Amino acid sequence: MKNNLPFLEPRNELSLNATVVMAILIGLPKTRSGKLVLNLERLQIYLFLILNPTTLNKLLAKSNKTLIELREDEEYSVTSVSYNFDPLFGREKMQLILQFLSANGLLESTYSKDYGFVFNLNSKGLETYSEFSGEYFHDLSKYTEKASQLQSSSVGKLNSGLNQIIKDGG
Amino acid sequence: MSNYLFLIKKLVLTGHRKNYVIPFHPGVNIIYGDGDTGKSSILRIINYMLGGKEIQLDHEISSSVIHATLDLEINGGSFCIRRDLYAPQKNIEVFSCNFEEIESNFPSKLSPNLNAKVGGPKSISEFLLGELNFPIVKLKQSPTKDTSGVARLSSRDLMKYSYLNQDAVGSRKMLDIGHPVVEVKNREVFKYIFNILDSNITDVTAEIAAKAKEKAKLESRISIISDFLEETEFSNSEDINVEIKQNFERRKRISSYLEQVKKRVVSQSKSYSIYKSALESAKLSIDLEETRRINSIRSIERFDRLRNEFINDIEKLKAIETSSHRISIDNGKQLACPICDSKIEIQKISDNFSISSEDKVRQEINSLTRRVRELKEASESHREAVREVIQNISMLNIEREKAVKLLDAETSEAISPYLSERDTFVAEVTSLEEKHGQLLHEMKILNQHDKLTLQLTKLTTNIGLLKGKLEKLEKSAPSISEILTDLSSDLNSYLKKINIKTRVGISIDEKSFLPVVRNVEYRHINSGGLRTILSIGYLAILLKNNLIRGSNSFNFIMVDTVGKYIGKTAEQDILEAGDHDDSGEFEDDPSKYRNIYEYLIDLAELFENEGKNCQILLVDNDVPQETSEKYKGFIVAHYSAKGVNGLPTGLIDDWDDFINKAN
Repeated sequence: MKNNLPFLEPRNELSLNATVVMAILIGLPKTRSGKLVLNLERLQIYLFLILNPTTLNKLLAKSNKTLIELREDEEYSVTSVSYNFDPLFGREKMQLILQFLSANGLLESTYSKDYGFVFNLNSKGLETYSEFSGEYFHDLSKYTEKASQLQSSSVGKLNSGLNQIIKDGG
Repeated sequence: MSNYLFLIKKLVLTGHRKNYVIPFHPGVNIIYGDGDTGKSSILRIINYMLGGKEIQLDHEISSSVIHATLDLEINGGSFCIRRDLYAPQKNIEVFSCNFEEIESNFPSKLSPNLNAKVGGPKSISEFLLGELNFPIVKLKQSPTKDTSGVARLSSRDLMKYSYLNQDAVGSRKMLDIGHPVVEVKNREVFKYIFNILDSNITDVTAEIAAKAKEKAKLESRISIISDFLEETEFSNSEDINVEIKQNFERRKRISSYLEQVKKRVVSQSKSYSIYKSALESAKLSIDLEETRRINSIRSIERFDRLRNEFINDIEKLKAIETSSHRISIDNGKQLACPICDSKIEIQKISDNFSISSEDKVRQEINSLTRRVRELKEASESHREAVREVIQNISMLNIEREKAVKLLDAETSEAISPYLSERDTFVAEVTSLEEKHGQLLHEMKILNQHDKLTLQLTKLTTNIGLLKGKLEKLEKSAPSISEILTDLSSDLNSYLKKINIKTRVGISIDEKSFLPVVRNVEYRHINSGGLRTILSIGYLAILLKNNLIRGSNSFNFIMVDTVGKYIGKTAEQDILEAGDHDDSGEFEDDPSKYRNIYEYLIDLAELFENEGKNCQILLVDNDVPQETSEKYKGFIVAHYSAKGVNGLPTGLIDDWDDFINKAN
């Protein structure tokens, strides 16, 4: 997507999306029992949730889980009151992000009986990510830590939970 | 007490919008003007008030008038006859006072029917004949037979000899000529008028006896009422009058206090309105400040959210800056999918994501950092504004409360006392009004007592007069031939005055008692003009005999359209009369027309010279030119349909205005 606006939209930047997906692949690759779970659908849901932490908190609240402690700037912003659920639909963007990570030689893919093709970062990926530093990376690990409570929920259950939130008006 | 035998003083039509009053004087009274202005209605209403059966009223009158009152004097007593114009069967009310005193008198009820029910109210006829002191007799319906049935003579029978309506003037059917039964009765009435009925002496004797009985009854009634008034220590009428006057004065005084109080309240409320407007303006300012406050709070929210959004974006952009060093689109140029061998297509990625250069990201971070600072400042300035507004509001609230307190104080200190003062006065006025009503009622009771006493005096006088009459009758009962000779001579001099040519064979017919000219009886005369002159003359000479002999007839006559078939009236009248014998004598000679007026005016003068009175009420379309100049004083009403020279447009003189307004 070409950006013709006079300002940048970070959410739309390839680098940001790739970085967030890497954070997910690091923070949430396995269940407690060590099974890899991140197939394309689950990655897509997690990407949306991590980019919209207030929605993530709502979903956690719905499932009676511990909430993320959000700062004022995270909670009281324009995004937190104007939702865009489009990224939840259509797999193309996630495919492109995975292709991009893979082209950079950071991705590893396995076939799982339960989830189909599942993804995780290879050793180069892990190394690369460990070199990233800054405020936002702290936030990302804060989000993935709490999102891990959702690992045992099926994709179907997560979707129905999100549907409910959409119906309630975000 | 004046000695008018019978005098119509005025006719009052009580209307919805106003009252219509037609005054009358002793002697000749002329009502003239254009057609359709209500002239004839005046005579018709008078006739109806004196017991006429029913009355056809013009639309103007029936839409404007509620009821009519005839103010008159009979034998020195004042009476007002009030009658519903639309319900002829309703009882007629008679007040024994003049019109101005009606409110403080009780009326007697009279039946409009000639044959009043036994035990019911007296009939209007009995009332009139009684007050006129005429004997009340029964007339034989067939006088030649001893066994003939009898009918009571009524005032209506006498009215025929006093009122010529528009149709009767000059008509062959005047006095119901040609109706055999009525003709017989009319002859008996004629005899009654001249006291030459066979039964006259016995009738007068019977009348004296009846009056004596009535007197005894009245005396006992008066004594009962007098006892009652004495026992209840009723104040006399003078005292009540004084009380009514005092009551009136007091009411006037208190009403003026009341006005003053109202004025004071208004002037005091000037400060009230100042406080009120201060309160209003405080309220308005508070509303404005509230709006400002809400707007600022909204702006603060908007700015804060945007600032946080930018803070988030800055962090994300920093993350982009970091990661784009390590991972980039350039790294995967040669890579292809190991499963499907498809190559990564850079183009497709840049269709879906934006890929910004490092510089651009750096710039954006700087720009957003600056904007975060600006937004913080903007938000701060709004917060300051909110603090200011809140301060303003609290000040305005103090102001408002002050105004409310002042208003309350004003109401309780300045206005409330006036309100209670006003209430006191209003209550006082109400109780005085009640008292006034009570006093009026007491006055009415006393007047009723006075009325009965007056009746008694009158009755005593009447009995005396009847006794004198009886004496005179017994001494010298007039003979019919004597009377007819006198009347013939009167008719002759009337015709002479009118200047009728060929005055031969003039007499009063011995059988029909109708005028005869050139040996032709009235009903056979072909000339309408001559009949008009004779019909008016006949009534006039009977009136003259009332003066000479004190006959049993009204001392007034009413003629509707004197100029019918003669002189100045339209040719149409002559055609209607269906005559061929006028030879131009009556239609061409306005002097005859004038002479009728002259004769009637002379006749009235004759009465005056004798110290008696009569009334001659004339209605005409016009009056002889000289008469209108010479005798202006006789004209009681002059109407012009178009209101020429500022004349009233008719009896209902506000009708045109009313119709114009209604449209």
